[in-house]
Amino acid sequence: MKFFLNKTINRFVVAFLAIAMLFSFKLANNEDENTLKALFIYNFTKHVEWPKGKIGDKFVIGVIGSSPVYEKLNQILKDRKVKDLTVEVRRISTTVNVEACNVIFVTNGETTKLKAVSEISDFFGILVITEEKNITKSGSSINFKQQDDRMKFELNDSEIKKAGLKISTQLYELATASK
Amino acid sequence: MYRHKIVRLLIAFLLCFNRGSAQDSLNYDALTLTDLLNMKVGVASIKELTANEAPGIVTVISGEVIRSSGARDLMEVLETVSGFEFGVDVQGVVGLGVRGNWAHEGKVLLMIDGQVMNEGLYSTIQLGNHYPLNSIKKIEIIRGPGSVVYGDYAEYAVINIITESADEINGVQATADYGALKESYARRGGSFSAGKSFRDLSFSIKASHLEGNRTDEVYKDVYGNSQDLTGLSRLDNTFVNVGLSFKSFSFRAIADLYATTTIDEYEKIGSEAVATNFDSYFMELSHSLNPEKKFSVITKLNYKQQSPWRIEKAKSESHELFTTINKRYSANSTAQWDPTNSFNITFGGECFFDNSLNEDTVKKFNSTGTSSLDYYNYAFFAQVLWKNKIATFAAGARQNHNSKFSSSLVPRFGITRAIGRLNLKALYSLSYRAPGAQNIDLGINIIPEVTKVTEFEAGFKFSRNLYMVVNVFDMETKDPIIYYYDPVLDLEGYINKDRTGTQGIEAELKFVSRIININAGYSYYTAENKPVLENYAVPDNDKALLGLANDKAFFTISSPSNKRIQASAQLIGKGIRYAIDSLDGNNPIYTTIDPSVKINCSLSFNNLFVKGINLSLGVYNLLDESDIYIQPYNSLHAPLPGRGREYRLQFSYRLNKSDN
Repeated sequence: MKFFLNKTINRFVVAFLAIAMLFSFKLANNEDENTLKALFIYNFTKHVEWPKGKIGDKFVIGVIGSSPVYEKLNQILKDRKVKDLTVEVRRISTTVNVEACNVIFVTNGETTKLKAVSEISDFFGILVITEEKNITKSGSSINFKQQDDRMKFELNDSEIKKAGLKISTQLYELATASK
Repeated sequence: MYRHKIVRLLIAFLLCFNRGSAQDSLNYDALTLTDLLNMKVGVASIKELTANEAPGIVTVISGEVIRSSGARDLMEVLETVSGFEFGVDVQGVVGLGVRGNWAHEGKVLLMIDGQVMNEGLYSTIQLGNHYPLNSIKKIEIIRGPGSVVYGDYAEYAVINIITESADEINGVQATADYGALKESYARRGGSFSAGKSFRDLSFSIKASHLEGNRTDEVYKDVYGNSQDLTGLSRLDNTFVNVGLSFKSFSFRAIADLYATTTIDEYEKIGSEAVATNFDSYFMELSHSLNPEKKFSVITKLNYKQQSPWRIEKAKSESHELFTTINKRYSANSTAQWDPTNSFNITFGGECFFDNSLNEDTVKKFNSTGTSSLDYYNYAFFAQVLWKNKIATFAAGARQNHNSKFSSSLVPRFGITRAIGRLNLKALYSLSYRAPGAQNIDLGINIIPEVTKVTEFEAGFKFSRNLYMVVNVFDMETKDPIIYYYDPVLDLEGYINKDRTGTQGIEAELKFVSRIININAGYSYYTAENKPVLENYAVPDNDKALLGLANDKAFFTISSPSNKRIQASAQLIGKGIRYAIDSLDGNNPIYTTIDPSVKINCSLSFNNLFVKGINLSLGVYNLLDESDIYIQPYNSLHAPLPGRGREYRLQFSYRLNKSDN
């Protein structure tokens, strides 16, 4: 009886671990939307050149609005550097504080602030990233767009130029659309 | 033994497994844009469900909305929550009614930063100049049951106050408040908050001291005696909340000292005002294992000491000295496991030991014959959320055992579905109210009451700016725990009665734009199709219950808080209410209270002269309407007047280094 019981438990354990491994394999190829956006933002910083004198003694990424992307950015950029500088991720509550940022991510619910952010970003050389339905909304430099089950991004060349930013050819090539 | 070894190995393996899986498996630095573009987007962790997706009827009020509304304490915030209303209990205490049901004793759970504020003797929370609003991040309200996850007290609703973390404060904040009524001040005091993080160490403190008066108007008891309550309805509160965290450990300590004075007493106006104190102290040590991972465990050890309803100097024959202290030692371990991005399993257990002690050792507990009353409790709970392309399914249950009363098993089921702009929810829950120490001691074979709640909700996003949500509910409480007093035998106690309940509808509308924000709500309940207890009944009216209006509506309008000048206005309307205001011999006479409208306005000047300094001016109850609190059960306390028109002034300063 004990033998059968032990055998049953062993089978259960093996089956359980096999299922857990399958789940884990699947996870390794999937990232949730918020983590992906944070990873993209980190990656964009490698493909953008900021005007001289516009980056201070640390690299600042601001997030306007309540979004898990803020936590993901903090998690990913903790102990990492951008442009050889330590990175600070800030929640931005008022548009006045946008000017201290090098990258600003405007979440979906905060698009009413986009126009004010855009005006500031032109002057202070800030990369503005949004998650709008399309990039025709003025003020955004890069816009996330989900197509099927993949995350894509669009570029707005005129906004990028207005902010005095230079971006790599690869970024242009990988963007789904440019305006 | 062999099986134990296997289980241990399995758990150890899974812990290692989960540490190594998912996000940690990716080398972020090696990822290129092409890699990212080729990645599939998983469903966001189910732990991050929005209010629209969550399997509950939920209201979330952000700190920004609270600050722009001009609200000064929790009670004023709850005025703009559908289905919530207030009634007077005794000793100057005002409590909550939910969906037409008097919910004051143990039916609404209030948590501040995870600490359960309900006192352990009668399980009440006390409203009015209590539970300050400085440095609040958000208030999450479940307008329905939450016993499966939250346990005791989460029978009708859960109010979860989350204050700003050290990182979010990242500097200092201070406020100074003053509010003036016609004859006295409404409140005066101030608050201070500070927070700072140093690598893995973070520290925050939020402290406030507010002195206030419930009213400066005249109270008339059921015998026709009158008393000017100016200076005799004090509501004072000192509140200190300290948080400290280091790596995965965190510590919190809260002191909440609340005091009322009252002369209106139980039925007849007393000869002198009597002070009642509610002193509470909370401590928590918690540990988070893998907080951002697929498998996480939070373990908490808590100590709570409360001395509620404390009367040290009885100045009237109807008041007795009451100096009972309640201590609770508890432990809770809750695990969250996301086996895939579409599954979330929450499970855990908790236990507590409860000790009540009469400081006056001559006074004995009825049930023990000594000056001490002890009991213990343990519970297990589990909930599974499954989010798929069709809907999000929720199922859970909680099993509770107590050494003094019978066990409770409460299940919960929910389905939420989003179809384009439409959100739908169908929910069914059982919830329970565990008797408090005094319910046990004064009770006759008391057992937990159980409430069955069925809810349906539909929300529709008309545009990016406009969202509306409507829900219907049916709730019925079996074996409700009711207070009784026999004047002939001079005996009081608690007893389980038969059943009580309500049905109703609630609607909320939100409009957010660059120019104005609007939040409006309407709620209605009826007791027509439900059994009604004599204690709550209104004669010749089977729709209404005593003290709580069938209809309630609110409308708030405000300009965005990021402007230099910010304005807001609130309108809160209540329908007809019923109250006992006099006696015919020994029989109560019920009266109709006319519908009322209260208008509050505030105007804030942000960054006045210096960045971070704000000045707020406001008028509360602009129309000087009669604002009264009715006792929602038949215990012969006449309606207690509230505040008339109040002029308010608040200075605040906020230095947040992250904003610089």
